[in-house]
Amino acid sequence: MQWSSVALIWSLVSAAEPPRPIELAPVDVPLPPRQLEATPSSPLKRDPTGAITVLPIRPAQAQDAAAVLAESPGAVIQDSGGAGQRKTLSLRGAAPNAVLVLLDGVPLTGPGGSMDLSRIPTAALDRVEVLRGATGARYGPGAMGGVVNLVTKTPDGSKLFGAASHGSFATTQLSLGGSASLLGGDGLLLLHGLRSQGDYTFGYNQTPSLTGSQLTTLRRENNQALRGGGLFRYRTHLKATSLDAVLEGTTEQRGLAGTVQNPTVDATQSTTRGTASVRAVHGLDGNGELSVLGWGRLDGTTLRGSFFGPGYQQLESAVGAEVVATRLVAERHGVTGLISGGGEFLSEPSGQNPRWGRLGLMLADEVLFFDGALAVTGVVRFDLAGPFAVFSPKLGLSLQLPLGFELKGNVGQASRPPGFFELYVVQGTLSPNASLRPERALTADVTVSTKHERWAAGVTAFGSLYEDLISYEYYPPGLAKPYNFQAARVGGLEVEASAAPVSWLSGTLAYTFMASQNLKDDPRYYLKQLPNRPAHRVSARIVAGLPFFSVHGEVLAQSAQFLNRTETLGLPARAFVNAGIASTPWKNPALTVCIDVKNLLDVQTQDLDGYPLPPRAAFVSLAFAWDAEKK
Amino acid sequence: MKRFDSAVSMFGLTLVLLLTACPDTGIVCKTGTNRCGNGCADYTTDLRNCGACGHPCGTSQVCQASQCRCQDGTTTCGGSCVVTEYDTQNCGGCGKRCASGEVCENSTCKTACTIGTSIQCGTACVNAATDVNNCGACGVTCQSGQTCRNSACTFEVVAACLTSGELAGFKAATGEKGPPADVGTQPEALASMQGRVLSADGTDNRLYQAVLPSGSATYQQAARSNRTGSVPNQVLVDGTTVYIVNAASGTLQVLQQGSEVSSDVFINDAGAAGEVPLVTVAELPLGMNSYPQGIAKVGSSLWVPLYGGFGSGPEVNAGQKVLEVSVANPRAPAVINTVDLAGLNLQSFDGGLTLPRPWAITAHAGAVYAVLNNFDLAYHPAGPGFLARINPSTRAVTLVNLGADTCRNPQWAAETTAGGLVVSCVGEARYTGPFNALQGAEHGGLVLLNAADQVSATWPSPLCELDAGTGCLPMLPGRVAVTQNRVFLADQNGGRVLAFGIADGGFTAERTIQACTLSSVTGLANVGDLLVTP
Repeated sequence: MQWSSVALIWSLVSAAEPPRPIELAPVDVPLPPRQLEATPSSPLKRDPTGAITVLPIRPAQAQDAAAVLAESPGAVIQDSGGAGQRKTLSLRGAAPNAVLVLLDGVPLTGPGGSMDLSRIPTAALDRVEVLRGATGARYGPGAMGGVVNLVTKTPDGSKLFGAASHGSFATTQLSLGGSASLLGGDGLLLLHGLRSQGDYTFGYNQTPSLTGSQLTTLRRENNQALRGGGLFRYRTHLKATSLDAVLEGTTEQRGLAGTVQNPTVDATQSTTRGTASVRAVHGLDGNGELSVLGWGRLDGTTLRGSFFGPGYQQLESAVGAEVVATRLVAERHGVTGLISGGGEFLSEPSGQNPRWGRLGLMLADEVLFFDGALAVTGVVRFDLAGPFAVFSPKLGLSLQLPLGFELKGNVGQASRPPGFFELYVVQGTLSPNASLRPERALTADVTVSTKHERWAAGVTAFGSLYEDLISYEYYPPGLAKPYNFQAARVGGLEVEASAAPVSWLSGTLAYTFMASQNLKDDPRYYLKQLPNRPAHRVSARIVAGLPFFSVHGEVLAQSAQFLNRTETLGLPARAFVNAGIASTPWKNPALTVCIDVKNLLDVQTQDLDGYPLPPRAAFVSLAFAWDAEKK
Repeated sequence: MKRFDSAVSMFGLTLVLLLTACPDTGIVCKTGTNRCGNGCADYTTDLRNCGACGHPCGTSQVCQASQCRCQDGTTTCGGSCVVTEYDTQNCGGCGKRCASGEVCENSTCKTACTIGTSIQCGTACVNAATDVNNCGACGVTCQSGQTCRNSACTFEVVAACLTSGELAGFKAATGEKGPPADVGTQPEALASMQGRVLSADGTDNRLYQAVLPSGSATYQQAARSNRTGSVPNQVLVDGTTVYIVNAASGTLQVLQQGSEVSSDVFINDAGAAGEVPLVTVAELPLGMNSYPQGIAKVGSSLWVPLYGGFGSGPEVNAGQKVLEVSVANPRAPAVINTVDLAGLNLQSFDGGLTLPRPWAITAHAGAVYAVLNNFDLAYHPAGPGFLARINPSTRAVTLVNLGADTCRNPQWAAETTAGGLVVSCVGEARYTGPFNALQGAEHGGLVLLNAADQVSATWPSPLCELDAGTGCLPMLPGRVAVTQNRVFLADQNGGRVLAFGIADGGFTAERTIQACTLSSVTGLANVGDLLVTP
């Protein structure tokens, strides 16, 4: 019966328009949604039906990628507190180590790692793309909650740009860059730095069990950060082939303040990380393209101080390559094939030094029906990651509706293989378990969106089932060990809206409702909420004024959340209000002055147990941009 | 082209089918327990579910080894469990009937109860202070593992099952267990107060109370609980005052009886009634990174050992001390003296640095004894286990060497009724294979000190298996509890409690009690604390 229905649908499909020439994409990562064209968009968009949000980088207003991602629906940031301190991202309820973070398509963490987003300064970025849901079929293992792609600045003509800001807690940021023609192509060089003392005050309850006890004002110590880095990017065209090379990295030293109750006054972390990638994209007679990416990554960490005894040093490294071919077939099929491979290595003090290889194969087809009003995509991906084999299928559709509405839907599966540390390496009081299995997520979502000249909005309903979640269990005397045993469900709504009703007023809104439930566990935890996942989260921003003078306000609010599996410890709801003014008196060179006040209401709270977040803070920033080709 | 489209559609449908494998969900019961109703039941001991879900035992029966059997002190007569001491149908033996109108007392038919401790329950003359079938009143029956003491059913010994979130009670003399009871999430420290068990919970940061209602097969978590600090490591009850040391918060918390409901009090409507109403009246900060581990009371002072934070610099220097805290007014505790342990010669094996971090403390013979792990900076036993004996008057410290072979990494100390001191020692953990599976611990066990603080007896814990045929589940000695003639030793790895006789100045191993059910995830269980009820 199903087959006859399918055949009927096939018979109703009319011929699509002739294929149009395909513009070469700078990288084969998700691009902002574009107007529907009656050709499959697979060559331009790696996941045409995915729920994607593109976050712009506003000059001199965010210190790192985490601050930008806080504005995305479905995102929850876990913040250790302070500029340059560890910040991780949870997407749609998936743990931070189940969110794949890419920089221009290059994965930034090894197996099972969770990316510290404070290590990616916004100065190097052009935009951040957040693709939510089970995107493992497109991007491979690790993307259970979704994929974040950090897109670096692109060489574009002859330009100079830079920014400087200074403010509370002796926090200073500098960046200086430029792009110009170079060896027949375009080159971009950017240097950036950050220094923060991070010595903010916070209220501490020394007698937490006593009703009515007064807060004591303490100062966060050993919370400083010093970071520097650079980005070099070069693009050129060789006939029908474009080449894009990226070299970027940061080095950082920061204090590790520890928890409020148990501070670590001399513990420090030094990290140096960098990626190098070269991508070649070749057009195929206007009917597709061939993209080849080669990349390498190094990430070294050294922990020092009496807390770590003699010290700890580790080096993660990885190399990889990916070949993606997309081709328009029979006018209404956009077929994509991918093969990727590489190796990942870890060098650490106990000498386990695990290493494994990766191999990925993907086949996708995007089929248009009804003159392109309906697009259906099917993807299968098979990955070998070390000893694990992971299968990630996905089915998606995109349907144009009347009145400018569009419907997208996806159902898919993604997995996360256990990480090197979970499998092989003793870390302090954590013991490994070599018999772990990959985690798995089944995800479905439906998005209805509309886009008009002055406003756009979208609502997404999503649900995920997580299986074989890896969780550490206590293992006496003092060692904990990871096991596969948990299952959970997460469901909710994501709302996005943006509007610019008049030229001097604009605003954005992102709201997430998320409900989570532990589905397989001891009776003490069974059917309880997952910790660190607030049910409601809102990010709203409004800008009023003209470039010469504008004011902006921002609210980041979230409801109460539990800190443990038994729902006995929690954090109250909170709302951070940020506000500022900006002025750009000249257009070229564009000079922008901003004054920003963060946490205007001086809310005292924390994200992780014992890690207070900064109080009210003020920053003054100056940004300039000069375009030699613009008069 | 049609063929291609068909292939695509098949591909899509296959894809959908592949996505239908939904996760396995549900309650994960502990090893040895079964899904029963909305929770898990231990069919081996649960009187309500003996051998199977919903299969209760009858009158005067207990559930042992999944079988309903006659309670101790009863006799099987005609298929029923009877007490021939006072059953008029079987008075003094099966089938020995008393005449109509007579009662049975002390296995003899009489016209009336004549022994002063007897009360008459029907035609039976019973001692309600000790009779498990008429405990405190006619018809009140004690359950598996319980004894009748002072007219109340009670468990003589209670184990805190840290990893499974249960309290497990058993009889001291026989080890007969009652069904374990869910109390909180991670019971870390136990104390007894007015017939209730206080359970300080390390995950929930709460002080729960467990009550044993008349006729109940096991403990029930009471409705009211109190907030504690983080990692409440020991609870001490002194009359109507409760002291708790919160290790991670670095505080000494004081609670007293009071019925008011404040923000440190939580009420769970589903909980049982009958708890002691407690309210936090004071909390004394002892310093960041101080990690207070225990409490001992001498006179009007508490002695609190500070272990120090993890690390080797300023963190560890916040410890290596024992504080004397005056609780002359429990609502205003104050540190009045500090005994600095730094610099003690702990006889390092290799001459390297070892640290006098006090892990536990007990009062004994007019002094306080702090237990020193004697670890190096990497938390490995680097010398013999020691006790630091502190004279409360002079605060002078003398070291008691527990022996490099007999006691490394001491954990706990408790006073015996014979005037000695028994110390438990984890030993030096050995790991095997490339992924650090625990193989066992060497140089651990029990040490008995005589009145002169000399080692008078030892019991070495086995490296691997305790019981033949159970495979290798290593024993890791934890806390100890002492009754008049027995020592009970907690196992932090296998969930067992080992019972020893200490008659004749030495240890006599009596039995091993599987007090806590093993986790079905880890295969382990940790007895976090032991309580001998008064």
